[in-house]
Amino acid sequence: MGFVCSIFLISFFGFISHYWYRKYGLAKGKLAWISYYLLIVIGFILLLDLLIYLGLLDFLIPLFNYFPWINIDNGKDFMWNSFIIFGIDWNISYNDSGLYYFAILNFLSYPVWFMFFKDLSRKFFGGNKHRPYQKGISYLITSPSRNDNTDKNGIKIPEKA
Amino acid sequence: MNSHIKSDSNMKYALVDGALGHTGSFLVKHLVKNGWYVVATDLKPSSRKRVMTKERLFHTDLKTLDCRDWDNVKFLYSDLIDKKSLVKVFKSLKSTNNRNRFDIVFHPASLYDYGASYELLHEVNYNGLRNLLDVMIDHSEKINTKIPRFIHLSTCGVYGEPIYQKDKHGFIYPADEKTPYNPPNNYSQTKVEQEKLIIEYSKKNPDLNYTILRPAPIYGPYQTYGMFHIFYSAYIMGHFILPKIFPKKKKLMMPMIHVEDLVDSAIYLAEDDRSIGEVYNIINNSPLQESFLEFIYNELDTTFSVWPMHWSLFKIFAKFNYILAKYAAKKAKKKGIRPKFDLPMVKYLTHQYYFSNQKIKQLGFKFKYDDFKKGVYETILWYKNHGWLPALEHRLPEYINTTAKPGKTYKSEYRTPMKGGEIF
Repeated sequence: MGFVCSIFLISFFGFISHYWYRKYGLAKGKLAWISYYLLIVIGFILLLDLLIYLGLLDFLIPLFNYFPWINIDNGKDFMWNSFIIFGIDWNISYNDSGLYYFAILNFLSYPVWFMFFKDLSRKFFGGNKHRPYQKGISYLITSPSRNDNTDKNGIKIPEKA
Repeated sequence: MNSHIKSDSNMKYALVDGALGHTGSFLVKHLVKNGWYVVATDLKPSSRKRVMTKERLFHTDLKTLDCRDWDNVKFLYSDLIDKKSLVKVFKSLKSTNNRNRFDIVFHPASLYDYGASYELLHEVNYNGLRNLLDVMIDHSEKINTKIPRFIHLSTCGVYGEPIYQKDKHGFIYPADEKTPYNPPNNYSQTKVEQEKLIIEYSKKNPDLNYTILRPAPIYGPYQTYGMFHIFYSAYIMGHFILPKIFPKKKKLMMPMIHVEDLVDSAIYLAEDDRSIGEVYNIINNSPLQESFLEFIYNELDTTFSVWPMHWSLFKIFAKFNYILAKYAAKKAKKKGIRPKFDLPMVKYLTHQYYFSNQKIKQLGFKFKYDDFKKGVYETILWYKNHGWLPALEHRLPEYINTTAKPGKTYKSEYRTPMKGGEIF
């Protein structure tokens, strides 16, 4: 998917992790949910990117090259210059030997990006398993909910006999 | 309605309105403790629910210090905007205590709600006070006695954000009671109107001995609006930002007063004739806002990120928060409910409030909670113990045994590997 897109995606999935965790995991007591989520997101994106980088999915490149503005040589080129799909060519020369080590660093950084944004997510949406009442900083921007048994002024509506 | 009277000839008689409110209830408690007889009044529960919508903002199980059944307290329902109910209050002493007049009238009752409309605030706070003064003066004229001493509770908010005097390094001096009015919101505006009304009445009736108290934001047990927003929000969010503003001369102060200090000062001033016709700031020694926040975050188990921030950047940050709050308020209005934060509260973010408490200290009054840590710690503990802040849940997983069983005895004695090891 390209290094930039993948890091962006991983960060995004990391950031919404605690939102899903609160919505589906924590409320139902599935405390391991976030670990599965981490494995699925990182595992899928890392595997896909490794396959692309190692050239195992090169047979799909002609499909992209069908579009006039796209000109991808191989998987490595795609990983470094993936924004060419949107017409933005950064012209990174993927054959430079230094970039090989940089690519390894990029792959290794995937879990770090995820964990960083997951931590940010916990602070933003809450999700401390010992303190389920915590709602994170998002509490400030979400509008209050009205209890079902109160009217618009918050006054309790008497139950029907 | 019970009133268990233990009267003696030296007993003083006070009227306290708004006695089911936060300050009012503490005031009644302290007056009774000091040997006073108190006629306490407040709205009927139905009216109170209609007017005090702020009390149900957090869906907490609210309890108040209910003075209705206390000894030496006579509780009556009355409404400031209903003159007839006020007349009944002033006549009530005659029937039960065979006494014509109150020694002192404390007036903590007011609608303290930043979300209320100006019309409602004006009706309750201004017209309500006018009714009270009219009835009080009329009653005194009718029975031909002195007008009771009048203690009015206003707010430090009447100053708005004052223009402070500065030293040669640019650090500000606290503002004293002579600072001109500059109310920043409707609530404070009605408080200014109240103060002007009292001064106007005292000119017409020189016998009206009044004292005006201007308390800073009040905190303490049972407090549910204003300072409680800060405690509750910090607790419920679990993580927040601690802005450390620089340069130092721009650091914000945290003005506040513990409710017990407030009511003690009200009683102290009521008993001291030097305070007649005077105005007093009632405020504990102010800490820095960042020290206060750091303390409450630690007490509330709230993690925080320290962000050193230049004042100009902090102002942008606060402006951004204001826009978010405005959006949330608009959304809440669409739903037909109250927003979590009233907009004037959010505006306070960048305002510098630093007020002097020297005037009351010079009279000899000593604050119990000048060290904010003591009062704030006790208040947070109270909120936790009474379930106003949700309790922690440390549920153990099912595979952990929790039923006690006696430990096994070992056949051989175990010696620690240390020299001459102890035998267990």
